Amino acid sequence: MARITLDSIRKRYGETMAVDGVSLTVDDGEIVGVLGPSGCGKTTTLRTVAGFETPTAGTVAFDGREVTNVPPEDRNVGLVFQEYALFDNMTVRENVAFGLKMRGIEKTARDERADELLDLLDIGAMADRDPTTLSGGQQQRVGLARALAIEPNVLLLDEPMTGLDAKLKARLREEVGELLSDLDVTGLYVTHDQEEAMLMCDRIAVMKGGRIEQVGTPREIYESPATEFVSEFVALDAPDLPFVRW
Amino acid sequence: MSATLSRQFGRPVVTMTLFLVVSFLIVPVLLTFVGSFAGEWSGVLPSDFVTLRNWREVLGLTETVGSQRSMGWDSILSLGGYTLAVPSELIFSVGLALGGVLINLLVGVPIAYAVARYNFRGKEWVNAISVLPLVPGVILGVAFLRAYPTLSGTSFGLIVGYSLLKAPFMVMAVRSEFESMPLQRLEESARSLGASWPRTFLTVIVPNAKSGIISGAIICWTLAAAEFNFSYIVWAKGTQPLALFLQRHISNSSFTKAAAAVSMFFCIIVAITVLLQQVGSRGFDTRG
Amino acid sequence: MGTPSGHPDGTFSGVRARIKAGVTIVESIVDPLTERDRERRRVVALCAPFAALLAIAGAYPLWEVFRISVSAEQYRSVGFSLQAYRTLTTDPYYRRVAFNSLWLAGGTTLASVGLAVPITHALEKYDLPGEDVFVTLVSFPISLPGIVAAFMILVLFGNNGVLTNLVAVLTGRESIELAIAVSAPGLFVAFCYSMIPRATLILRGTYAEIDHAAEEAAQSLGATPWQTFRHVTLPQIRPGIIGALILTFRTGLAIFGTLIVIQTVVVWTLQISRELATGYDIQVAGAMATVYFFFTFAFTALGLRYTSAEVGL
Repeated sequence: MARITLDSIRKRYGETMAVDGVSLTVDDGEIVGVLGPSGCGKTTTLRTVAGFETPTAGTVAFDGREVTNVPPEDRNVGLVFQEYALFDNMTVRENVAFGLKMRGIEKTARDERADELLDLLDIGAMADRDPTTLSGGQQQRVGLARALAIEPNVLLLDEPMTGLDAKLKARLREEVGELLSDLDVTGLYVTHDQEEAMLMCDRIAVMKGGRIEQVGTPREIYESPATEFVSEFVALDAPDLPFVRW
Repeated sequence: MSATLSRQFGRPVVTMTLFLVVSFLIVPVLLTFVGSFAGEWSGVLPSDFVTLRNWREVLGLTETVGSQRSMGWDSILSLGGYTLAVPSELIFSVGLALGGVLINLLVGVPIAYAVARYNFRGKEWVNAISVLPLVPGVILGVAFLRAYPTLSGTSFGLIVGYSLLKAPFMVMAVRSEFESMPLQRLEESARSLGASWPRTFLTVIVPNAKSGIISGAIICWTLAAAEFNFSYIVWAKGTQPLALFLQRHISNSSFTKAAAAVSMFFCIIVAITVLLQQVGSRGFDTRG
Repeated sequence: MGTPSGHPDGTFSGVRARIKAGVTIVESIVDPLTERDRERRRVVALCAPFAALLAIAGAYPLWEVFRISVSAEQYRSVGFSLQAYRTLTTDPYYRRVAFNSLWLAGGTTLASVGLAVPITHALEKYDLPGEDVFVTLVSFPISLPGIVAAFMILVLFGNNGVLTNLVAVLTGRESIELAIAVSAPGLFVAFCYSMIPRATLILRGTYAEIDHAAEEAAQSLGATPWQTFRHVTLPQIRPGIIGALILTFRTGLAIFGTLIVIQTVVVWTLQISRELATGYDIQVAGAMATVYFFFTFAFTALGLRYTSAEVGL
């Protein structure tokens, strides 16, 4: 895992400024939530870290090494999407082992590692299944295992829980939250759901219109919002959260 | 149209139209097939059943002469005194069409991916050019005769011509498959896991689109195997493509024999379609 | 597709800026730095095989055809002469051929699309038993070449045709008098045999995208099935119908094999092959091919630009 540093990132698409001067540091082993309404630039920020967008200005560094122009396949980042995006032409195990295969790791070793992760995520029994036969929650676990298998510098989660039903969400939130802190994963967690961000993340950056309004622990954000926008956005549906990490 | 009229007759009339048109399309196909086994067809319905003479003559199992000449036979395999032979026109067209499909795969799958996955300037033009036939077979044939006088009538010329003429069908079939996939997410997942872009394309994107690619290949194959217009213009000598063989029989042979030639063609289309679908559900499967 | 000189800022500095921008794009493709550049390179790589085939098998041969059609000599592309085009425009024979092509393709297009609408409607809207079978049956003739379509018409309406003989038996007349396969109406029906399945295929794609809620709303408000179709369904499928008209018309103009079997009306494509068969007049054939190409290109481009037509299956 690594420390991720974004320094004054700007991203312009034609006339519109999608990201306008974002600076953010994610410490090694820390999960930072990026919270905001749709269109605030949070997904663009995440894609910049992954390397799918080259910023118009500013730099991205992993552990102090600049990677702004390094293509995504050489950055060693894990990605988890809302839509799972599993490879339907492979079994669950092959999905998880795919990244290791790309790194030239020999078959028995990578299968062993894949099975280990699948067991950890409680879906070891599904290893030989076709991913399309799995439920939504199971598919999301496969997606997570696949991203974790490469021991990424940073794990990027793009609204991973959106689209799952409330009960499943609550369970996954707890389980995944524990797993990520157990594995000491460095993560960037993009979501529009403040409750999710508060539960899963060590710190939260609230974004609006391409800028960061405030960065702080969930408690700081909740108790002393820096701007009107933050207070409104966070207070909406004020969560009654017994196990928030503060 | 008054309300009662519409309620009472609208649906029956529309359904009737469907039945009539389907009959118009299919009845002659069935009659042709049945008639191919008849010895005589001069009254309302074919008569003098059942004879295999027409089929034997068409397939070249009986001696025939002149413009009614049947297929030649090529031996493709000799084993201990036994020779496996196949009708030459048939195998020739099968091969030409497969060659065309191969080129179609190489040119059609990538451009379909470009249009389905990326946004770029001139995308509408690329899209329109790739899905609309450039010119019909006759005109392409004239152009080939002019541009490649020695090459146009050869197998190579026919394959290249077929591939250009049928490429739009491949692009359309594959593009609609791509459009139903979360392409961007798939590509980004694979690349974040360390797969280079070409490797992502070949090991993740293409295998995931296999059903569309196979149906595109089936469509292109049947259309190329049946291609007449281009072949008619450029073909010079040697083994005839299947469609020319059919045309010779339709224009010159007895009605029942022409029916046998056309029926043979129906059988090929049905057989290849079934065969490729079988391959599609087994051979391409990476899970074994 | 515009040329720099046709552009409003076609001044010297404008041209230089454009050249510079062009060079930058080429550089970014050869040696990409940003992800955007890499993506551009991918698009170029993905389109390259198709472009190569198009250039070798399409553009170059058509260019050669155009060159010979304006050549001053008959068999070599030299000089410039519009003799072949003068023949096409002044000889009334060619005008008649062009007219034949247009009415035959136009009439069969209207008939085919006109039948394809109720067929598609029945297949997509009515819960008919064995619907899949109907879809397969309607699609089957798509893979049949024109010569086979013509044979199907001979089977129904030829001298030996089933319908011909049926009518002959019923009326007591000679079947030879009744056979219509080898006549203009027979050709018309043969064209429709090839075109109805294609038109149906295109329309089915359009029907699949219809908003069913609006139709149900209209019906619940008391609209008759016809009113619902007229005011709710039809506006939604109109782009598809226009697209089907354009594509089916192109198909109709391109038909050739059918005419080889049923040679009753001389149309443009048939005449092109006759120019080659009798006297090998490659210049006139080339001019006819060029005219055909520009005509279909123009009406397709205009059709797509000035209507809401959708192209695709």
